[in-house]
Amino acid sequence: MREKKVLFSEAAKASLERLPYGTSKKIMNVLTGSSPQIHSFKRTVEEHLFTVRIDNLRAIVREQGSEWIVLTVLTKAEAERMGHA
Amino acid sequence: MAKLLPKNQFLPFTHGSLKAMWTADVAGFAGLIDPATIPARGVDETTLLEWFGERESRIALLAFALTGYPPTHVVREFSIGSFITDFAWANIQPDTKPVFGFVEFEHAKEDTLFKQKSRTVPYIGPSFLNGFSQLVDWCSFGQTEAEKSPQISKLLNGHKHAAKMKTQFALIAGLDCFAATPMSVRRREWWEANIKLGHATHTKSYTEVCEDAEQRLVYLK
Repeated sequence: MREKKVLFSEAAKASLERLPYGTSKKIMNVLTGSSPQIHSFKRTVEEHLFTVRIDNLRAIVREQGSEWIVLTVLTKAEAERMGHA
Repeated sequence: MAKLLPKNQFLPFTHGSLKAMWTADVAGFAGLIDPATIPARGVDETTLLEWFGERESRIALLAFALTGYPPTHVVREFSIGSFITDFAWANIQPDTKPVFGFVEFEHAKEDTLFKQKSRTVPYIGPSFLNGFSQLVDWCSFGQTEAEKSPQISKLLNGHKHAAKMKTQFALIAGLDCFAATPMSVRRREWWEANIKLGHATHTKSYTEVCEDAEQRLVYLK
């Protein structure tokens, strides 16, 4: 099966600037490795959104056809404030 | 007149539940710039400054719309050196590099983004260009001035990544309903794609900021 491509939105790139080097690679590894760390949190007709857990970080990701679009990357504290325990 | 937050004073933004508060704020913001109800010539900068300057949550909403994550501190009319930003926010957490965002508002009037003069194609609006010139100054001097700011130093006191602090800048100006011709849309798209100042700099209309905030509300549970 062909792996999905992983793309980072402009906001995600900006959110990564403050995080440790290598975070984007870790996110890509999780997304392309079908890891159980991926959790769906909202599915509607338009939105297929997921959180990806990596250490103390949470990436918010949209599944879009053959692509994963990383929307933003949050710290655990931020994710908790946004309701993603 | 509305009671505004104090100037030049970082306030902690620690509200636990964001969804209900920001859903109400986004609805209020959308109402403020709704093309169906605004005055024919648009909304002036002061109205927008006062609406956002009333509550910490609204300044935090700006940061969330621009970055996708909530800030830890917000401030109205913050001075960095000889420059004054309309709003600023900070994101300071133990294990990440501190981020400071600075926001400049301009009008949301019919001639903010484009101004019709004698030629057929309108000129880029002086109000927009005035705001953009502030972004240029901030990008040139803002990082250095921010590093020297006593308020920022106080927030960063003892932070292990203080030396790696990041600054980001944004200009918010105009409404999409006043720049809706195909030519205007193309010119704005070209600007967004090609004019880059670094420092994660954004130039957005109020319409775009409101739409970004609405879209990002789906991140919240």
